[in-house]
Amino acid sequence: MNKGIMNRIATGSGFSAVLIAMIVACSGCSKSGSGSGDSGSYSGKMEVSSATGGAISVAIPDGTTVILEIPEGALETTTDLALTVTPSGGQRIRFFSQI
Amino acid sequence: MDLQESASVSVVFPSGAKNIERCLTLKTGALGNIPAKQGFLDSTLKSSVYRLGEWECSKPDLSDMLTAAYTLMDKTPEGEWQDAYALFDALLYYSARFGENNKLAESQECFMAVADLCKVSANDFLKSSTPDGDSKDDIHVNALKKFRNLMVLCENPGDIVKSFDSQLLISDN
Repeated sequence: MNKGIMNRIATGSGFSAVLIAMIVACSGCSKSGSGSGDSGSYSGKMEVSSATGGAISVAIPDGTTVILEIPEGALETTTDLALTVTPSGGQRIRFFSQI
Repeated sequence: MDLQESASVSVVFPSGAKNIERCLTLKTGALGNIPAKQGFLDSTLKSSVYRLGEWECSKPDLSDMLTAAYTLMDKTPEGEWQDAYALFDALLYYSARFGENNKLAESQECFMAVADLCKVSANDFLKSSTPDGDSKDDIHVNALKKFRNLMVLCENPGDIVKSFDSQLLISDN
């Protein structure tokens, strides 16, 4: 993935369906898995700047990816954000963000 | 955690996933689980949110949605624009789902509730948050803009209600 696209993902600008598809395949994005098989929780973390915003993507084993995109100006201060995704069987999925 | 601008939450389902529905709800304290503004682009469910927190995606049930919608119609936003937008989006979501399921009366009720919600929430905000002198800060100015935008958005449900009314009249005749 070229540097320009990575910058756009990191700053959360110019998001599009094409970029979403590319994030899914992006090995450099912030994501990590703590579960085994299709169970457990999977999380990603990122420092999101108030000035630039940012995006976190988390993929789970069934192929589903959750993406949280924070635009610039949405946060009052630069914040460490975490996104945790928990598959619960079938199409059911839970996820939450935290500081 | 409140956001000053709306964030985007996307769920990209695997290709070939079946029976994908607009399933995203956000857990809130005062309002319970409420559906977010959301739509599909191919196999991606994309939503717009004003608060970070806990989401759940599970297949919606019409009976549960009716109960949730009538509960929400009795709620009043607590004074933050994020509350007003969350209620606005949730009632429009329910209205659309009820329309899809031939529950036209219930759908129309949700639209009417949206218009009332806008007036009440904007008036409450203006009464409760008028700053002294020149003490406006960026967050207050942003809230004023957001409520102003909400009032503009609320002009549209009336037109859509008229369209529902005209269709109901045609079917009655």
